[in-house]
Amino acid sequence: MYTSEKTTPLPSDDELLTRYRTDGRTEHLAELYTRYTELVYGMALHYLRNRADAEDAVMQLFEELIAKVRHHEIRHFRNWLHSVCRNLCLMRLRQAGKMPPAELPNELPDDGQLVDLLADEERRLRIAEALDRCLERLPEPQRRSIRLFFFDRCSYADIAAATSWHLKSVRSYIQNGKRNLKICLEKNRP
Amino acid sequence: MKLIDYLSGKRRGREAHDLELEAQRDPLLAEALQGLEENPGDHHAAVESLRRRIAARAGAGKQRRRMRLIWRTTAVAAALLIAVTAGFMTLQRAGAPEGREIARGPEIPEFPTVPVPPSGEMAELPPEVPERPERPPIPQPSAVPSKVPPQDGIADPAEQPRGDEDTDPTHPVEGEEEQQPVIRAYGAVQKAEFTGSTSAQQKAETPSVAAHPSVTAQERPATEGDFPGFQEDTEVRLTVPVLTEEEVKEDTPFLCAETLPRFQGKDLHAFRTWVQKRIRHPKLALINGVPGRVVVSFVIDTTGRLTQIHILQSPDRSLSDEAVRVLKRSPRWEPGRRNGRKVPIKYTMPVDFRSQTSTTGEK
Repeated sequence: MYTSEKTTPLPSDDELLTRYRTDGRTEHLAELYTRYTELVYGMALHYLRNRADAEDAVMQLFEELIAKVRHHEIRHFRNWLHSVCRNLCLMRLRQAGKMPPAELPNELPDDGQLVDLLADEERRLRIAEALDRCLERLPEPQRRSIRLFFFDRCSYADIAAATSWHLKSVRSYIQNGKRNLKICLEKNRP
Repeated sequence: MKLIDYLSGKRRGREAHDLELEAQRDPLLAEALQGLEENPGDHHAAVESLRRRIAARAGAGKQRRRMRLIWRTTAVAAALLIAVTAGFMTLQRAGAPEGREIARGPEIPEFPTVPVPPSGEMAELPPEVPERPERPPIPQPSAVPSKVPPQDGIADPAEQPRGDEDTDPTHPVEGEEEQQPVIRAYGAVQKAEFTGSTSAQQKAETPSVAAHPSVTAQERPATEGDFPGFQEDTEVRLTVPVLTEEEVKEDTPFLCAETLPRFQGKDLHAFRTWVQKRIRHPKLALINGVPGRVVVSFVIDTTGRLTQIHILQSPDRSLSDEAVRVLKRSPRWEPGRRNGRKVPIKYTMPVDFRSQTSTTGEK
């Protein structure tokens, strides 16, 4: 690891928030928001489905940030930003009389723990027996996709190429496989 | 891996996998990827232009702050000038009327006076000043409507003859709601006065000490002897008065707060779900298949515990007992906050009882 005299490490999200709360200079928020612009824009696109609205939403969200950051206690900025953005987009949709987008086909929100478990070789070893048993009970495509994705660390496209399944199918196998694994593992380890 | 690479088609390999894995953990990334994939267009250019706009907005904020600072210092300087002049003029006179007036300083004047800067010395005030607890501290309120002809909306008709130099500098109208007594750097009370809201806080803000000698001279009979006493009687508020922080009484919960209490990181609906999962329908109270509903209210106190559980509506005692039983088992919440301080918050919530005995085992 080299040390450089010139480059200072970038301030963390929380650091920037603190700075803004201290001196009230919006430049700090701007620096923070710039890191998330692409994500917020993408999210707004997903909900609002057109570029102009998405751009408006991104700027509107920045204005809201300026006001809200002062009053709200924010534990985890990323998640908080996600919530605020989501609410903003849903509100806009409601006002325009449009329907919200269909629920995320990919991920369940409380997937995090299982994903961490599956992705971590150490932890997998610890529950190797139960995990293998549960894997065996999965249908073949789900088992194979899960193994390829989590154990071999292949991307969706890699798996699709290797198995000649469609990309959407791969995602769906992984999604369902995770759900089944979760149920199975919970039963075996109360 | 950069999003843009993934989006442009680089979907193979470890880096792509890592991004996909991250998307499984992070709903923000997941939804963003979806949005960017589903909608065509040059996202890179759009994002770059947005970043520029954000930077510009921040720059505008900086300018706004600077302008505000300039306004404030100008206002303070002008107020100083007037105060000195007025004080000087006051000292010229016989001295009595002002003494009286000054002695009354801390009270609220009977007529809605246009706020006037305190006479006498006025310390150089720091531009950034904490505001009262009622209003969340916003040194940079977003919009600053023009301060230039402030007396139009603010001057009490009875006071018009006094002329604009009194009113002008003391109104850094920040565009907030009319009702709130806002403290500004020079301790003059703003619009709240003429809306007639006399609160305890307003006393602390002491408007004026006699800066309008012309008016007071007409209205008060001249008396001797008050003048020397004024130094002790009045506290001429030169700086922001010591804010009497609102007492947060434990037994009067707020119904609206800045930050709502959180249950396991989520909101009241999540708590409701939690409760419903644990509710065991008392078999004795099965009422012909009609689902029962108990409406409860409770308070999340400053330690996050549920207290003051009240039954607002209940078809049957056994149902409400069961509801209370489950509520008492609630884990601690993260208490609500108002202006950063923990406050008790009251919630009202229905608890439903299904007629079929769907008893989920308690976790």
